[in-house]
Amino acid sequence: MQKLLQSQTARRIAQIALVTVLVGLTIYFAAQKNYRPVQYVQLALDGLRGGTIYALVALGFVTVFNVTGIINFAQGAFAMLGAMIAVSVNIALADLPGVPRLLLAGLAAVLITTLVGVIMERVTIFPARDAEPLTLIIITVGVFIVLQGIALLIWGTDSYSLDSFTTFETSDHIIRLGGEAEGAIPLIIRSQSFWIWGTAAVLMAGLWFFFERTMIGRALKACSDNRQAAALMGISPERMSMLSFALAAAVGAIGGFVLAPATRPIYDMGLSLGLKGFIAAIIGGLVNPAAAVVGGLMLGVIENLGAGITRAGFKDVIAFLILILMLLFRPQGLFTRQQRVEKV
Amino acid sequence: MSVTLPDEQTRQAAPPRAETLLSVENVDMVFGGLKALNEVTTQILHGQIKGIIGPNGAGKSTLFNVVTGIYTPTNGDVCLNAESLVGLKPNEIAERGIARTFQTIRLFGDMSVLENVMVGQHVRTRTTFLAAALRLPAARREERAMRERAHELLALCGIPDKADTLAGNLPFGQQRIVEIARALATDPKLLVLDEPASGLTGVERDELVALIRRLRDDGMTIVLVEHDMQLVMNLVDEVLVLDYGRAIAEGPPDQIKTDPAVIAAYLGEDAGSLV
Repeated sequence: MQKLLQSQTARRIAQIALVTVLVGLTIYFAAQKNYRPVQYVQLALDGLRGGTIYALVALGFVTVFNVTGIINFAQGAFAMLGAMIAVSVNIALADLPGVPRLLLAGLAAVLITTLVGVIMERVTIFPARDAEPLTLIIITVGVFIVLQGIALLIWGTDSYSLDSFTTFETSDHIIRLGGEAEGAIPLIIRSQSFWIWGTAAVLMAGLWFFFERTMIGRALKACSDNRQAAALMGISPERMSMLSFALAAAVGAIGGFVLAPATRPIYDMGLSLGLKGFIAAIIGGLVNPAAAVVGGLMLGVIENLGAGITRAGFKDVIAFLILILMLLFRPQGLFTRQQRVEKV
Repeated sequence: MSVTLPDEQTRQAAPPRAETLLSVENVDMVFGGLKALNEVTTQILHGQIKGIIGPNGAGKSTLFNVVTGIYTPTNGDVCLNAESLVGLKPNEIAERGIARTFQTIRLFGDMSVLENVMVGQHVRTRTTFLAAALRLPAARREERAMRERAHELLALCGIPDKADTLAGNLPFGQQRIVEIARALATDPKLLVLDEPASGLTGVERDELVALIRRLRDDGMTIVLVEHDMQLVMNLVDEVLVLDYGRAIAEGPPDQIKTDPAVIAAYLGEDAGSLV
């Protein structure tokens, strides 16, 4: 008991020390930059765009984890495939006018990626379904590497571009807010950001509807709540596992598709998207979709603000620092008060 | 309050009572060196309530887990309407008509009571994923019908006013009733109750007994494990007694009460020899 108390006190002290150091560093770097408030808002807004994509990838992690207990590290590859397939279809249909061309590109990206998700589950997860979760997680890492290798074969090492949803050209609209006065700095928002936010909002509403208002969604939820009880209600855990992968792949692909015009899609973009999405899911505690979305947005904003006051290259350092701190001090997520007790 | 099962009209005429619904034949269940079930054989007839009793560790829950597909028996056969269930997965057995409740309650705690019951109906739905996603009229009609049926089941079980409560927030006794309603939602031929009265207050226990009687009057076949001897003896048509994984006695409650082997199992060998 005393030992436990000591370790808890030590933990507390370490936590407080860490927070103090981090806050100190932040103030130190921020003071050196001497930014105006609007520049912080700009950094946060840009971070929010990336964070929305992390949130979508994180939703894929949470869906698969809840239903199967697997952390699917191929999730980032789904987003990559979504972006790359959309790019290819967009090029192939270059003769079509903008609206149908991008619609078909998006549709193809989502359908093909969903199919890849289903095939992945049937070919690699289903045969090993009785294995330890760790084995299955390693399998997903293998699938990720395979998918990225296939992407390398198809698309090479070039980076591509996808037309903006607003202009139907590679150049995007830029919206300026303020900055008319002498010496004032305008707030700049690319129109694709609105597409990303809007799509994510619609998608999340759709997912909510699916889980709360449809029978299959409810069965999926039941399966993630208590797999054995669900099976005894006649819900096939294997079908639900396949469905969770299909859903995760579709959500990932939509994320990749709407992100594509705002970035330069390339065959290896899945790695960082997948890892950031994983960090977002961890911030949210891995089991709660809403918390994962908040985690994604938080991660996007924090890493972009952090990179803004230090150096651009520090973005990943900050993201992984958050991951390490989360795993060390709050493995149950930021918004969960206590760890879930596993029922026997 | 309605005391008839809502689908009474659609249910096929019940076969004569004497017909066997579930038969367990020479079932062995071995865990490592432990023989949890040893050549257990029993029949459950249509419309019967059967109680399974026995000291702790006698193999009662193991037998339930074998019947519902959580365990695959080492030897022997389990048949529902003469169709073997051995090797089927729990969800496939649920589809064939066996529903159960648990000793430790396993409701979907984050869902409302109504949703829990609706999940039970999942196995009887026909709506495809696409139809549900597109909100086709047929899908919406089915959803509405299921919602109504779930309300009816809650009414049958005496908790019509709890539909929108989060299942995890209900008092213990009512959670158990919801588990029974959820099991009934799968439209089972056989209802398996694992210690339904454990942890219930006196009033809750009486309500449970009344519910089980109502279900039996509607023609439901029920098998239950229970420690509350008085409840078992008053409720069931037949008792199976397990001890160390063996079926040591089977028969009507009155006969079981005076069976020397049963008394020995409960009171110890010496006491048994005194009878």
